[in-house]
Amino acid sequence: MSALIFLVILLTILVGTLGYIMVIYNGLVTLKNDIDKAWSNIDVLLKQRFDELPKLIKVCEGYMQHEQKTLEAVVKARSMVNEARGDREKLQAQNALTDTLRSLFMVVERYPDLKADSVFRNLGQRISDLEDQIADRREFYNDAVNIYNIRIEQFPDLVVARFFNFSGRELWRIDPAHRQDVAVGFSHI
Amino acid sequence: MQKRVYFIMSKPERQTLLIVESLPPSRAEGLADLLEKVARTGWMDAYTARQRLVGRGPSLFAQGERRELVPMAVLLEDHKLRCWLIDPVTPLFAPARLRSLRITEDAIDFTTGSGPLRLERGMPVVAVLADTSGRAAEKNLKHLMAQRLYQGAGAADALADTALQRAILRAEPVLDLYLLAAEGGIQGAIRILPGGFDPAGLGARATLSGAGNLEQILDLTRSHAGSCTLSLDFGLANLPGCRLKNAEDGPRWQQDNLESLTRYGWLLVALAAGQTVTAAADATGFLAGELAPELTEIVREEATTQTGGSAAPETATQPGSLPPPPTAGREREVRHWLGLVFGATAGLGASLAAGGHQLLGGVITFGMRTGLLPASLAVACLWSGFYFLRLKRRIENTPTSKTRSLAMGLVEVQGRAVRKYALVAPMTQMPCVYYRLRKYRRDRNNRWVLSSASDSGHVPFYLEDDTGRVKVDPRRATVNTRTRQEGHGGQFNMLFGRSGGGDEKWIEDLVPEGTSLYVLGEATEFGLRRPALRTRLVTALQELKRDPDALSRYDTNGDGRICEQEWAYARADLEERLLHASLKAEAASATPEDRVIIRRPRQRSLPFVIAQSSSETHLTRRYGLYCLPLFLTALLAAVWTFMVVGGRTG
Repeated sequence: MSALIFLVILLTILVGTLGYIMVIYNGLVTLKNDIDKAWSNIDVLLKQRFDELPKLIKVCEGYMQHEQKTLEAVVKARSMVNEARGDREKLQAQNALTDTLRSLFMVVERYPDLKADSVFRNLGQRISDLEDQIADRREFYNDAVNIYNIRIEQFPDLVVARFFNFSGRELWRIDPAHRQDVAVGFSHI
Repeated sequence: MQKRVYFIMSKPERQTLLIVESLPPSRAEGLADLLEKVARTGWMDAYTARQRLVGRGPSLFAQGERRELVPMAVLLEDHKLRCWLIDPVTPLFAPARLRSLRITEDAIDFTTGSGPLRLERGMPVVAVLADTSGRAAEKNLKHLMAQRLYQGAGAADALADTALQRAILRAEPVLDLYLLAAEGGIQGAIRILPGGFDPAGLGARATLSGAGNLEQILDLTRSHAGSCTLSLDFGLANLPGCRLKNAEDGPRWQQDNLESLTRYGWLLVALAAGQTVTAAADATGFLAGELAPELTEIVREEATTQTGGSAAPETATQPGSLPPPPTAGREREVRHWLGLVFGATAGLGASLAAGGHQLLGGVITFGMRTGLLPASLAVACLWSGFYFLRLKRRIENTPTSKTRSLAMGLVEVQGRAVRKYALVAPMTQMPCVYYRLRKYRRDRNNRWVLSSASDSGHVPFYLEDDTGRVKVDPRRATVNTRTRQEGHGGQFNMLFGRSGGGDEKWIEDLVPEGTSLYVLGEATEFGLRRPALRTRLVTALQELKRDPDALSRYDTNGDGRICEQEWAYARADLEERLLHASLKAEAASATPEDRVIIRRPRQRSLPFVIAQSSSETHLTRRYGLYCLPLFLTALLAAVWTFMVVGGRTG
């Protein structure tokens, strides 16, 4: 009788352990897919920003007759995004687009009429909102990757991760150029 | 005898009180216009305003800086409500206890614990007849509820003054008399307790009843005083620091009630001494010049809004102007009936179990003999354990999103609960974003049985973080609240803090407005999405081609046909127009918080949790703690099953 009880306890523990492994495995699969989804959700916003640009350039063209170079740079960066293949290339193209947009908004300061245009203001606000949202989603992506990386390195998830070959994911890395200090000079004042 | 006069002391640096003479419930219908204006101006929501305006006696309507309160006061006066703007009053002394009295032709001489006091004929007096036990207030509310139940809300009215006075005298009455000096201020105050003084001074008027003697003194005061303002509303009036307490509030509750009564008396004296807002304005001309434009502005705004017909609740955009909560839909009715059926079945099962019914006993015996009962228990515990384990890990594995950049799908957000509708908890009247109310009734076996359950699951609310807010639809959510109120009897018992001790009990769980909230659910976008600009341009160009008149506008050289250059111009012109229209529409469209909603995931295996918590840690810890006993019970139940089965097989 006692052997039977021992067997039952063993069996229940076994069922419990198997269930636990299943929960861990399913959790890791969900996390991995959540990371992919978080990455794709950044793309959704980048696409929205991409679609807003022709409208912005169209509005700017009317006012900025002498800033063709800046506008061309934005158009060129946009087409680079369209042509980019692979994650690294896409990332570089998006960063280049962000830079050219920043230049464009700096140049706009010289055109008070354009700044006062309601369409431009609306578009500028929308693009600025999108930039904020993109930043939030990058942060979210990093959070998701961080949780996943911690999970697969912690016991007992580590065992399941090793057995089923779950490997770590990379965090979002910014362009090294953006880490440099901003050069501030007051010589022109 | 040297005459000393005490003037009302107030602290000007403190906030001013706007006190209004509240209306009986039967006249509340006429407040709709005022409530709408108050809500529109953003001072407070209509529900709160109604609560402060309807009742008995003076009521604190608002508190704040005087310049902010004056427009409110003018608006109230404009709606024929008496109101006062006064600084908070600090009582200088408590009324002295009456020991004996002597009545003469010209005056009543009171001998108090602090010395003699004389009420001369023609002197102004403020009298407060109060019941410090709360029984009279409760009776008043019972009366009000009974009238409401049998004659409808329109007929509901508080007890008439004579009936209320009788109710007070039958309970634990106290009579406070404030003798006012002609130059203003208080000359003296007397507290008269039944049986606490020598009634011999009443002469032939003296009775054997303490309360009767009190009534006689009140009548005498009325006949001697030049003007006697009698208040019976202590415990019913909503004034600061004048709440009635009971034995559950601590051993000092009776003392506290007497102190509250003193504060109440001094406030009434301040009100009697002070002029109403309109009287003050007429006397000084202060309001006429300075504030009339503000009022005019409010009224003008109101008139402009009213021309467009009655505004739908959803259109209210001013801060504070919360629309009333929506009514529960059909789904809730179905749930209600399902709940009743389930409750009846469970109740029947419990009764059968308690009564040792043969059928149920037979089923249990069979389950035990075959091992089916412990086996079912083991499976149920194992399944529940894994459910909580999965939920715990799901919460841990989901990163927190910001409301500004919510992606569609399962999301976790944390922030502050903000009401979308003017929702208040039914018993405690607390502004909340969610409540769950369960009422119990004692059965024949002296056990509490659930008699009704309701919640505000159909009322959406907002969750606000640093970046914005998002709408949450709590329908069918697992709501973990941390604020619970319990009480016995009806709402009136709760209002007066009485234990009741009857055969009814209620438990109210709620998520108060402003508390930290954790939400795990599915974010979805709703509302029609407009087609892309390119699609709209193509459609517009197609329409242009079909309309020769519109097309001819672009025929700049007048040759009767559209050349390539003219077509390019037409295209650019249309595109620009569409862009302008699109941006204008975007700016005018619903705010972002109304475009996205967090609700129960369509995939049933995904969780929908709303928890009153500033972090997810306590939630995951709680689910972790649920798992452990469930797994242990499953193990024990499995062993039990095999012992039963092993025993049978020998």
